[in-house]
Amino acid sequence: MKKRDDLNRGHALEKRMGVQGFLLYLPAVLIIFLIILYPLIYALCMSFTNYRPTVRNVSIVGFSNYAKILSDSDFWAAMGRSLFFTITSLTLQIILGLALAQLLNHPRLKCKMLFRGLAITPWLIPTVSVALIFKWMFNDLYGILNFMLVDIGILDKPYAWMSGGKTAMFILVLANIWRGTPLMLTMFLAGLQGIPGDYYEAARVDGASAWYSFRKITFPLLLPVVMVSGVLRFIWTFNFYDLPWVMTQGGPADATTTTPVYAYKRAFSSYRLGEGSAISIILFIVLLVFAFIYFRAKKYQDKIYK
Amino acid sequence: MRKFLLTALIVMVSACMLFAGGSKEKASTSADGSLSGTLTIWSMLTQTERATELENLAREFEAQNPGVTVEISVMPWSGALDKLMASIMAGNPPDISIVGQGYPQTLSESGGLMELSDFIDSIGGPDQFLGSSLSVLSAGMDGGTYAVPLYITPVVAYYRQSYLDEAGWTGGLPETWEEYYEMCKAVTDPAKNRYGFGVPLGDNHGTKTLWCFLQANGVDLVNVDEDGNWYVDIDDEDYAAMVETYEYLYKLVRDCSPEGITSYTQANVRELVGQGTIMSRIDTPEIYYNVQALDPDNLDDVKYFKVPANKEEAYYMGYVGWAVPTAGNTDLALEFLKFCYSGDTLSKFYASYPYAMFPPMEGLFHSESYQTSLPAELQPMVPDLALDILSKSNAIALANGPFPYAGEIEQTTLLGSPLVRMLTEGISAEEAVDQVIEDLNGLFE
Repeated sequence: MKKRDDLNRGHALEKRMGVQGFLLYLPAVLIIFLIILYPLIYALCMSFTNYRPTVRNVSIVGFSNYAKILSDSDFWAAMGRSLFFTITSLTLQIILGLALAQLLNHPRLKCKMLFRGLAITPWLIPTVSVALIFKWMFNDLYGILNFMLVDIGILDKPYAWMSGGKTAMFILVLANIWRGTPLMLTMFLAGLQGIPGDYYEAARVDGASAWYSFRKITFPLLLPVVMVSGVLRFIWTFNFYDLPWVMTQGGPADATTTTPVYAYKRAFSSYRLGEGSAISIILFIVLLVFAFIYFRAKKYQDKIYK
Repeated sequence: MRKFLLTALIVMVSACMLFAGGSKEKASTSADGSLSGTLTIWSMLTQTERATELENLAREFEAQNPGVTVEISVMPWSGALDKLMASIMAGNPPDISIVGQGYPQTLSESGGLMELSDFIDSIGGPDQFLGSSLSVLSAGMDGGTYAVPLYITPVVAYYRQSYLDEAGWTGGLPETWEEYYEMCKAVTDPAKNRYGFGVPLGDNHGTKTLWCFLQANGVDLVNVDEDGNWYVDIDDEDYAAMVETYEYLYKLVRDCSPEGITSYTQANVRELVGQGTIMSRIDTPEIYYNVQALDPDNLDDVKYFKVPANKEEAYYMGYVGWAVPTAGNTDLALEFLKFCYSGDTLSKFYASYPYAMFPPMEGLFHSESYQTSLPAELQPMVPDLALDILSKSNAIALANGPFPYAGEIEQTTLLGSPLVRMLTEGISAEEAVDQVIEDLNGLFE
């Protein structure tokens, strides 16, 4: 009898704690709903209308915004540029991040803290500042790069880097690599520090070279971190708006108009919020696929480290 | 009890989060007729001189109305229309906003701006405003008035006399396109980092220059029929004139501008004019401020002439007005505007930044207090040349009246992008014009 009473009391306590627990995380749920779900649902609803703030009549147009966007060559061109911008930036960020992490993790490196602090600096600079710094560095008339290249004889005369579509995209990628590599470096460095030193010790005893150790120990154990960071960074970079906008505003002649910039222009420069919302939803669906890959990779990472 | 208190606390916190921001305090008028409340103003006048003078006007209004507080938020022009549009859509606009060219046409259909005809009548009527500043630039699509002109600025072509002398130019001041090209070409010398012509093709400000050239070649792009329906009005003759204009601009930019011009913003070009790298551009007298800051010893070297004509003369003016969003404290907003337009209250404001701000009211324009406050460099321009330009000018796509997408033409760089593609991708003038027409038609979709 006493046992049953104890059991009932336990259930009642559990229930009470459950209610209290729910109430405690209610504010967080409300915030998530307000700042994530509400705008998402609002954008979804808007994407089915011809909403233009400059026109009084609004009507539901079904999927015609989606059909219009998906048949628009400018949209696919922007998607292509987004993919190029993201994949190029990401690949080089991973390679550089990995190399620098190896270097900063070297047991014989002096002043590690200083170098690690310096390496993270670009990540601490606001994106807008990075954009303006690169824009000025590559200015055709007064940029430091042209000055140096002409000075050492590589160029005969200053080159207009930001005026050509290909060079403008190259500088955009370069700025993104410079800013994003420190994040990858930090993640990889944390991963490297999690690999037990005994493995390397054993490999050394067996006569393994540094390259062999990297291929057989470092890389396989670091792979889950690379995958998780890579997928996460892919999502961020694909969605990156501020750097391209401040550096080039999508120009010259749309040569650097990535999908988020295209969506912004469509929504706010042309005031077609219905179409702009449709682009955002398409972008959301594309990135949802990568988010799914991210969670799979994270699960794999957790499994490995367990 | 503890559980109840905890629950109550959580509900209160949640409610606070939900309703954070609250509602706007509305203006009120007390029994004795005195005003009270907070007036919010969005201003894009970022330069210290005029921003300070606007602050002074606000403090003066506060002193006359002790219950009123005026809060001014200063922001750049870049993206200002988007912000204002977003605030109107969100139902949380300022009480007064400074507005630029095309804003009244773009925003009037949203229903978010107050119709101001009665207010205009209460401050002396529409006839006092110069040229098209009220009838076209402040007008909405229903023929109503959705802004009050604050200041206007004539657009002219600038040059540096000493550069022409140095280049041995004896051709006099250009009156035609070809003469202008020859003058700019004569000065251009990349070895000296000196270029004859500049236009900001990296942002939407290049649109003004392109519109001037199109107008000078007799093209007005859009028109309206008797039923009030707008359409792209480009016949064969217009098409040929547009091709000629883009060919001319291509030649002018290719031969007389820095290679990087396709990425330059308004600020970049103004700096380059200010420091003497670029000799000439089509702009407002505001360029003097850049010269004053970067090359003050040569301020009197900068001179100006009317925008060169081809088929006809081109007149263009910069325009800035005030608008009153309907969701704001409209009573208080109108009282503030009434205060500004009483007597010569605004003359000190115009004098604070004289190169960029000219009074839109003819009476104030001719007033002795305004004329004597002008700097020496502007004396030859004011009043005759400035009045000639201002009384004949219209603005981008507004030659035939208030066009609903006037703001969008500038925002989308519809006129500038094809020229950039000619310069960077090598497309022909015909392809450039086809793109302009396609994009114009896209506005009506």
